Amino acid sequence: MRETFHQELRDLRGDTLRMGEYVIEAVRRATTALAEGDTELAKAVIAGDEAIDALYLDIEARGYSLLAQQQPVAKDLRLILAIVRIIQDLERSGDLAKNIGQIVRSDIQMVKLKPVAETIGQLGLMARDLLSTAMRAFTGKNLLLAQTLDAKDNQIDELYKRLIKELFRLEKESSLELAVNMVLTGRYFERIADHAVNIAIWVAYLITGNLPA
Amino acid sequence: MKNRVEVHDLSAWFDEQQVLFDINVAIEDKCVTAIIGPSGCGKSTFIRCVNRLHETVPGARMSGRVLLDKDDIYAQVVDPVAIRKRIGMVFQRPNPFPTMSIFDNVAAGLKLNGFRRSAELQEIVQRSLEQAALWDQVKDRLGEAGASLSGGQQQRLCIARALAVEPEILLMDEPCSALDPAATQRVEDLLVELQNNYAIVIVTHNMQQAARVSKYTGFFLNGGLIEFDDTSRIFTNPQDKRTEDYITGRFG
Repeated sequence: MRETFHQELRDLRGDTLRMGEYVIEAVRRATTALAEGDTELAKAVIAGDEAIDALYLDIEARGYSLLAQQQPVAKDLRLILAIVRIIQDLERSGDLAKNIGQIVRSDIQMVKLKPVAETIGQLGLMARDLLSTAMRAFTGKNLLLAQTLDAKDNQIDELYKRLIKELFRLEKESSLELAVNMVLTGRYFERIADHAVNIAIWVAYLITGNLPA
Repeated sequence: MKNRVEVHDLSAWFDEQQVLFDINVAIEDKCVTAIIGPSGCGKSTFIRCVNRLHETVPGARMSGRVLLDKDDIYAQVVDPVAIRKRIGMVFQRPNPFPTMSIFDNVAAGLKLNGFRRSAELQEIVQRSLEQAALWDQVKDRLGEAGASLSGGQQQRLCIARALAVEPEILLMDEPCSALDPAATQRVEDLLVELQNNYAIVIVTHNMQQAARVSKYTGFFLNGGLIEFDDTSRIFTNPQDKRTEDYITGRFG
């Protein structure tokens, strides 16, 4: 009986890792689509969000069933609680990647605005790096790695502020719509990084048992 | 909160076989302390040492000290019967005296202790049955045999019997293992009530029960107390891997 439960728990963890890979890939593709103005790739990101959402609902339902039916304790309990929180942040990150895809699909002419485009591209790379670092910390139960996220997130916040400043400087040559879309994409990447930080917080809980302050 | 019982370096044997090894623990007043661990880990022997029942088994002995309110219950001048009156025990299987009436079952301990005043006896029997949440169900049939009650009611009758002698500490050795879930829940509700007045130690195989009712939990393994901590901590973040493996069902 307990063996079945532990197998289900391993499957749940495996699917969470898979969901993480999907989301990291979505962020990578959204970044590339944006940098290259690739609307086909953007459409693929949008379409791919469905699979992420389905996985989210499936993992969440299984997590709650295990809580109700198996009364897990100790590290098993912490793993399930961490997973049901982590998948929320993954799901939201997937949505944000999809939002970026939608902006690219609506034909954002960002490639024309070089310095700004570079900053946004860099934000995309960093957001993806944070997500994959958080998920690596989850996989390896690596507390030290989880604790590196905060500092990295500060860099992203700085970069986002720089993006806003750059946009102000470009005011004259850019349309209002373009400027808004750029702020939004930058903001979406910045939010993805925040979700990565949340994931790291739940990884730390999983390892230490201390609830986030 | 005040500690009622302190156990220092407690070891116990059955003949040559040592079954407890240097147990050190304190039992706090007005709360439930749960003792968990696999079969044969020494948890029952542990509580039987706390009210001097262990020594009633031929060949059984112990070493170390058990203090009740700082007094050594194993001191030469101490009468073990007086200790068992102060530290009551409820056993795994409901064991009412089968042919005795419900009333006499509850009054048995008092009568054994030479209690004769009948008006006061009535009062104590009623109060004990009320405390055990059984009064309303038996008040009109106090003359019927204890064995006529259901299993869950019999166990609450035994709890009433233990309470009648006005113990200060209540030890319970798997009190719900022979009960169905509804009867178990009533006993658990009762524990929550009783802890307002007693220090309670419950040995249980049911880890969810320990998690539900107790403030502190001790995990025994192979005669040793592996870990003792707040119940919430034991069940969310135990510090010893053996505790974690046991409560998560990875052995035992």
